[in-house]
Amino acid sequence: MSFESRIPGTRAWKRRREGKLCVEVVLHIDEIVDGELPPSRKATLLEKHMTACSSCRDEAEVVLALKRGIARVAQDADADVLEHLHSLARRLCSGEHHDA
Amino acid sequence: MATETTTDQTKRFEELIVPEMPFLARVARSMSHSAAEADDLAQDTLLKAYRAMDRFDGKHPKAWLARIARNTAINRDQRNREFLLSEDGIVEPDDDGSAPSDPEEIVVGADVDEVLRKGLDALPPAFRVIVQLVDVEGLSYQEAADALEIPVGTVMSRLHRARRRLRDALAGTHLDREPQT
Repeated sequence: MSFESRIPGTRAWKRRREGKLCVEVVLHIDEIVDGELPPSRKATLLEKHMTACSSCRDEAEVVLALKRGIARVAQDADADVLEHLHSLARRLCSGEHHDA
Repeated sequence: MATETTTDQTKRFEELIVPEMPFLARVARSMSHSAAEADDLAQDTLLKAYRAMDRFDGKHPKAWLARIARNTAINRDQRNREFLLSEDGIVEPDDDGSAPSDPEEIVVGADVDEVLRKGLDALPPAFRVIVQLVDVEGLSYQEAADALEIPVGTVMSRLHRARRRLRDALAGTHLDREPQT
């Protein structure tokens, strides 16, 4: 770490600070993308950092794309399981099942 | 009087639980090792939900069903207990953010959705159910934690590790590609 990077306000100091924020973004990327990061000074800092940092925005985009992909492939219920559930529900509601 | 109670129970069941059956089918699959196991788990859960309608406060039916399914699964056999309650036996890849040694070998020519499906199937149920609840069903971390009776921190760590595994499996694909029609 250079001497200059320890002096607040210098370019090196700003670069070091932004680098630390990149690490924080990666650490909290799931909470950020899921909207689960509680409001705080840190959350505000990270949000501000992300508007300026393309690599952090890219990281968030990847996680978001992953979420969309998961939702896409896992949203359909198994047709057989669903049919068996409907059948059981009908029997329960009509009193045909011994539990009804 | 008993008939009146049964009618009320049935009415509440139809209003609150029947609409959530697709959710139950998906969550049961995420907690199971096979489609047949998921079928049994879903039906057992529905039956238990019907029997317990008089004790259900009517709030958060998804979380309630997920909790019944989870308890049913862990009571079913030792294998489910291990997979849903602990992470013993789960072999973790190196979680250093690096890609697999030869990702191209894994995904060349493969459809992104197919890779994702296989990746989800390969996840241990303890991880898969959290991905299902958060990413597919839209539950918050707290709601997922309540449904599965685990700490929020466990939800967060399992979700992160599950997503890391899926990202590793998808390395080399165009993750953000729109679905093919």
